[in-house]
Amino acid sequence: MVKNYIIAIGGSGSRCLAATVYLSAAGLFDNHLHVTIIDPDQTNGNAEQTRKLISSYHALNLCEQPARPRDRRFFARRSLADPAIFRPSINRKGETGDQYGYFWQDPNSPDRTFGDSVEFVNAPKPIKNFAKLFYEREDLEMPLGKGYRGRPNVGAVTLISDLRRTVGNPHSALGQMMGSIRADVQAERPVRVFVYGSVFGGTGAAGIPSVPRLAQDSIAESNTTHHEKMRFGVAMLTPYFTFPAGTAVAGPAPNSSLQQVATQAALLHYGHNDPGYQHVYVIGAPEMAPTNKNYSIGGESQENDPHYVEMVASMGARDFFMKGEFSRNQRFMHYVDGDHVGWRTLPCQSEQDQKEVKRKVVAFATFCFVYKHLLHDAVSDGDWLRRQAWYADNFIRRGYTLETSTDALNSLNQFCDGFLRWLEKVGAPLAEDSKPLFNWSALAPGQRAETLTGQLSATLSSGDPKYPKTGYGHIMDRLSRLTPTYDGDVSPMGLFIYLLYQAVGEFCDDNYALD
Amino acid sequence: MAEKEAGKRIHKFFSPLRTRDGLANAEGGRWKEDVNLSHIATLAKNLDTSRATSRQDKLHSVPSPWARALLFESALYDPGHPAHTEVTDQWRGLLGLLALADALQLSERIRVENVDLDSQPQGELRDAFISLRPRHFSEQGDLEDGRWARFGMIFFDDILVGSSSPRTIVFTSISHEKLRGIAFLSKEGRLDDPTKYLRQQSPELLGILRTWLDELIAKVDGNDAINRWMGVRPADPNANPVSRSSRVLIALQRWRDSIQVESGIETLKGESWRLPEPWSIIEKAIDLPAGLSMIHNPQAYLERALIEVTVAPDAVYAVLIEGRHYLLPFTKGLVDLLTYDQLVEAAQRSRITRTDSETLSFQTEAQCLGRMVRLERPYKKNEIISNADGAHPTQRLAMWPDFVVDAEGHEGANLPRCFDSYFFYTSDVAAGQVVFSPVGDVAPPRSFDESNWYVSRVPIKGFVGAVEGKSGFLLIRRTRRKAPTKLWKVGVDFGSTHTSAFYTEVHERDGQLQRDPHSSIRPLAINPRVKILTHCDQFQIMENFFLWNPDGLTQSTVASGSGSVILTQLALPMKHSEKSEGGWLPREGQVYLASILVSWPEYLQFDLKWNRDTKDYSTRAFLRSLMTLLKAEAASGEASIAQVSHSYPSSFPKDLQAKHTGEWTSMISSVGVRADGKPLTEAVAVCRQLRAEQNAYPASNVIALDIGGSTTDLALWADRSLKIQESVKMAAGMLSRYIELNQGFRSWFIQRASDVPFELTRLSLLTPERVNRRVFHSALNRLTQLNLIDSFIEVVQADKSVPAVKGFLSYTIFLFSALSYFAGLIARRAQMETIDQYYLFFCGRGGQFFRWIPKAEKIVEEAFNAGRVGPGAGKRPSNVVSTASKYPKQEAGRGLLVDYHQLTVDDGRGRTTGALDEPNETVTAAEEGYLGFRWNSELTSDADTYQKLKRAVERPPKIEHLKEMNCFVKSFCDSTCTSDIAKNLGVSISFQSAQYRDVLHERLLDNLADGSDRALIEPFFITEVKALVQVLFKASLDFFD
Repeated sequence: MVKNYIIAIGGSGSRCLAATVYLSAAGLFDNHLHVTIIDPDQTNGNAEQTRKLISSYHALNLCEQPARPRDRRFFARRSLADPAIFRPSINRKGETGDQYGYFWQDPNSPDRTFGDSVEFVNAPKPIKNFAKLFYEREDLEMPLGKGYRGRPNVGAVTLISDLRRTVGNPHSALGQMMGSIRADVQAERPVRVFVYGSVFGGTGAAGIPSVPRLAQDSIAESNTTHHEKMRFGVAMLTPYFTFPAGTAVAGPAPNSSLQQVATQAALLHYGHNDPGYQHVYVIGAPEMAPTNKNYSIGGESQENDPHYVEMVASMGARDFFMKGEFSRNQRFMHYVDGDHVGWRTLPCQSEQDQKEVKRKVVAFATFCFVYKHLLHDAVSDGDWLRRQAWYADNFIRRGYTLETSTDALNSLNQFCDGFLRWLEKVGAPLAEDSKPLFNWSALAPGQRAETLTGQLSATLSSGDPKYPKTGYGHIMDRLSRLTPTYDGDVSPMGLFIYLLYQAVGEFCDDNYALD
Repeated sequence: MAEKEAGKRIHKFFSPLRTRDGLANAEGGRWKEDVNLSHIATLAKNLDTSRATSRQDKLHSVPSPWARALLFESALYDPGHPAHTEVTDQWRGLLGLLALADALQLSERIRVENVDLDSQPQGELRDAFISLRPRHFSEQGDLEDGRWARFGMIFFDDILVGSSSPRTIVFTSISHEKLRGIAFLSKEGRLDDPTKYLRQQSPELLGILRTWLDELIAKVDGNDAINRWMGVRPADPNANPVSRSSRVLIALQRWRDSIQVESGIETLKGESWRLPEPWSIIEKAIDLPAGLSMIHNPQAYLERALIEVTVAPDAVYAVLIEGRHYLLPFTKGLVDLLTYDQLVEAAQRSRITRTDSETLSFQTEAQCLGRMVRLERPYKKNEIISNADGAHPTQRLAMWPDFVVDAEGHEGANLPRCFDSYFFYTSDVAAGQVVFSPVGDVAPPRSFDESNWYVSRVPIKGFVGAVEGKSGFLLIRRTRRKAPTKLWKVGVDFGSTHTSAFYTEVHERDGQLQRDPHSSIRPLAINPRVKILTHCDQFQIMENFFLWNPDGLTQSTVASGSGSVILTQLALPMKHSEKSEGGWLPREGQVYLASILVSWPEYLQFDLKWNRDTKDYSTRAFLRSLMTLLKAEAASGEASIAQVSHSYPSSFPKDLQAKHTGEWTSMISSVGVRADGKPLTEAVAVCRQLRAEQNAYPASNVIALDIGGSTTDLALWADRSLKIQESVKMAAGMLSRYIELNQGFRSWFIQRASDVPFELTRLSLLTPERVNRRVFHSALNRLTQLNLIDSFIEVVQADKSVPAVKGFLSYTIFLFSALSYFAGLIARRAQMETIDQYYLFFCGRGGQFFRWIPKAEKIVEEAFNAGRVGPGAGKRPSNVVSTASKYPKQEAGRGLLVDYHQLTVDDGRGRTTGALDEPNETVTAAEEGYLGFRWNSELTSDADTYQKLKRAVERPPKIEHLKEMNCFVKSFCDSTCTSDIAKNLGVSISFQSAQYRDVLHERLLDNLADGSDRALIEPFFITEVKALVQVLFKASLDFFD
């Protein structure tokens, strides 16, 4: 089983990972994923949200969907599409339902200062003096529990040291990830590790150069000679959001007015000092969207809104994982151009891939929209369910029931709600774009959900959708006609997800001329 | 934004750009594919930074500890860099300061302090700089290798102003203080380009500066050494690499060209004015070209005096003539200059001869900078400081451990960090003494009672000895151990009074530790390891490092395994030690000063395990020292400790379990030893050992009683799984207390143990008053080591009629009977009825007293059966096989290292079971008659049960209603084996007495006195037994603590 590895560093990294989870749910990632969030700010709101999201995704991934589905209504059975959503597992332990950890547990006290972490007090005098060339007093006294506050020169020291302390622990998330990588390397499977992090902040910027070094050292320590099979990619996020000015209670504070100049210095550094990645994806945004109303140096209050840059970064990871073989000595920078963010500019592998991306994202958004706004309450009603043809054919006759799947239905509802909110926020900075990905204002429809189902996006040729007002009816009609046969076991929830998505997908192909 | 305002195309996927120059457009909807990463610098330069206003020379965004030096490179060589102007000004300011030092008469105020990171002791900070140094990999390897270790730090009036740099020759310190008397400072007080100041203030000095720059440029231009030192910048694969020296040359030329000298320069060249050598500062920081010598006056490297000392010649290098030892007359400068091996060579080449009646001549040769340098000096009488009249005795000096670990081979070895705890000790002897201070990176000393302790992470070279303002050098003669090649997993049985350790070799595979199939479990013997360098009493000094069995009864390592047992003891918290400069010792101390088993402080034994206060650091203090001792033993065996496994008393509630685990796992940060994050209970560890090494078959009814100092852990094992584990606070400490209370037994013990064949002569020096529990147990240890313990037990049994011995045995028998009855009761509760055969293993140090009891098997069988059948009768007695463990006090420690697969057993259907995982710890009421409880009720620590218990004990049952206790007492008094003892002790009378009722009530209330969180929830039966013992002993309530 080929696995891809993702490490999300800091708040921006966590939000990119959230985008990846959503795009995985939509079917944009093929291989199983093993992810880890690294953030010394252990209560960071962004990371916390992503952790919950991964947990929610995992529950839905465990719902067994039909294998090799065929439509039995035809004389010659036609193949139906294989299950597409919630497919790649995230941190799943083998075939069990358990999950590897995905959050790096900082072994240190949040009150620890940088000086504590490097045992400055105990250092010999020459080393103390030497350190004073590079660090100010406020650096040494800076508490690290809220991240590195725009000081990667501090973070670069403590983070890799702290990571090394946990990487050998097989019970830690990082240790488990390295164990998995080690197993892949030893089995001579290609290993690709992608990292998300900002270069204008503290934690991400500190972590970016640390990861390849840490991973290679860790694998090399296990005496394997195959670690040269590892490949690294990174999404370096350059400034794309801003936050209000503020004052840290203690120690240095992040300053969004310095983001550009900090980025410049960091990128110049990478121009002369190899960060260790074969493929570097540089992504930013020209307008700094305010993603947080309040100033926060970290912690629970640091909950920034999603941004399209994070989705593009996730597409960078997808591009990296889809690449053919390449040499470990390559060093390439990637960027993408466009005067708007639309289906034609979202970076993909090819024109066909571009269509596929649109097809999957639109279908999944529609799936979430229909389930969240129109079906969830109804499906929770047993009387309603039993009156539905699709339910009678596929569930009652086969001895399945959805009436005992309340938890799973609620999970799906929460996930769909989260996705739609995420999508809406992603679109917020793009409200003025002429060729938008979605009809952003339709995603939170209020009472008109039925009539908006068919007009969430535009067709590829920018014409009008085929069924702008009657989308819901067309979907339910397609759903009612689905009575597939399939191999293997299914769970009622998995079967339901499959059927609804199949119906939604067929509708979207037709409505938006995606075929 | 700049682009938008200019009406230019908006790039939705880029941060605000100033320009798009140099970056080809990507095809819409595709990632740009073929751009080399070096172009990221182009993108960086194109960013719009017009809105940044803060001080840009203090950018922190470069993710490296070397950010400051790297920022200087980026900014100095790139006019487009946001910090270019600021950095250039500071760079010129620092070079200008060096250039004009002589002219401005500042030379005396400038000094350079060299630092070589590679030779500094390991530490987080140093290691970070080394491990995160810049790298540049090519087919030739890492091109940056060797450039980031040696630096010359530049001080002005002791203010650190900058350093040499392989990227820009020099860079300035990130923080700064205003420099007194320097004109070319910016308004923030930083060094600034002197050109603009000198142009107005002193054209003549400007001329000097320009001349100096000319010379510097000439030095740099085409200089191979400089080229090698600075290296090349990374470039596109097919591009020519750009040397950094060419970039710095451009920067220097640009500066030189900016100086428009108006007068003075031509006249200066012919004058006697001495321009400072451009390299006078910098050369100290880089590899000197061959042919340059730093030693101009070899004699200056020898001290002006010879100092006589008393030394241990096997431990140090000193100069010997006419039966007297002298310190090596090496100056501190020479010691700093030479490596340890070079110093040893110099010491071995030393010769001292008498030239005449008043003169000694010293000579040696030292390998320095690739060639041998001869050092020679005569010493007149007035330069020889003698101790012939006793006026200059030698201070005591010792070190721990008695070896050092070779540095070679550390890097790249797939092993944890090597040994890094070297301690040193000095102690005053008299006024006028030769006083020693360590040479090397040693933390500031900790002082107490005219003694000093030092610690260093790496071995030091030696000590400077000083007297009357003169100095000499004492070079340590190192006993070397090779860098570790093995990994050990260590199991520690952490007891209240004694602690023992065991190890086995392991390998690490896939992040998991796997036991080497060829490696057995072995005791980890802990040795004294004091190395006396001058003169000391070994045992006394040992106590001042680590209190290692200080009574001297067990000083040798023995094959029997009991050498692995040390006293569990604590350092005394040192008053205000947290204020000690450098903070190298935590407040609890690392160097031991006291034992728990002496009387003060009285709560230490409790603190070790039972103190719930998370701010109580007693255990952490002990563990730190223990781990240091274990690390030393491992290092001595050329091994590293991969992991330490440990166990905790089965009776620990959740909060104590968490505290225990935290205390152990924190060892990784304090002493670098990784503890198992999932400890076992002691009961489970013991059972695993019984299964793996003592043939306890899990299909049988096996009961392990691990009798420690303060607790007895009971584990019951049947039908291939561990059924019950309980822990009670009644153990062998009761017998120790008896010894301390009974002078007759202590006298008998001294007499017998001092006599043939045992001959514990040190014991004979003690009066009975000084035989406390520690001495008693140490003596028993010694007898075990001498393989005389069996003979001694024969003496005990032969003397069983001696009143003092009879008394001791009576209480021992009473304790074992009570515990056996309780074990039988637990078996009754577990309904272990499938096989009518029971195996009782008495483990732990206390378990060994089983062997002291005449007819022990029979006594245990009767008591056990009484408990198993209970007051109701009706069941027939079972067959009971009881034995003392063959691995006394080793069971838990060894059990921690047992492989999981060794615990399995084939159940006949092709499956393996009986792996001995943990059942929950329970507390059985074990008594009838208490309101709301039956004999088989389970007591818990929740608030409801606590309230219920309080109600039950406020009005305890009448004595005749205590069915279990009555049953036990009756059994004990009626047994043919114990009736005499019962009579002798007065068991029946005491049990029926009003005093017993009062004492029991008091104990029951006391158990619950500290509130629900801290209540002692223990079986009623155990409290009843303890109350009876208390009455029998006429003892106090804390008799069992």
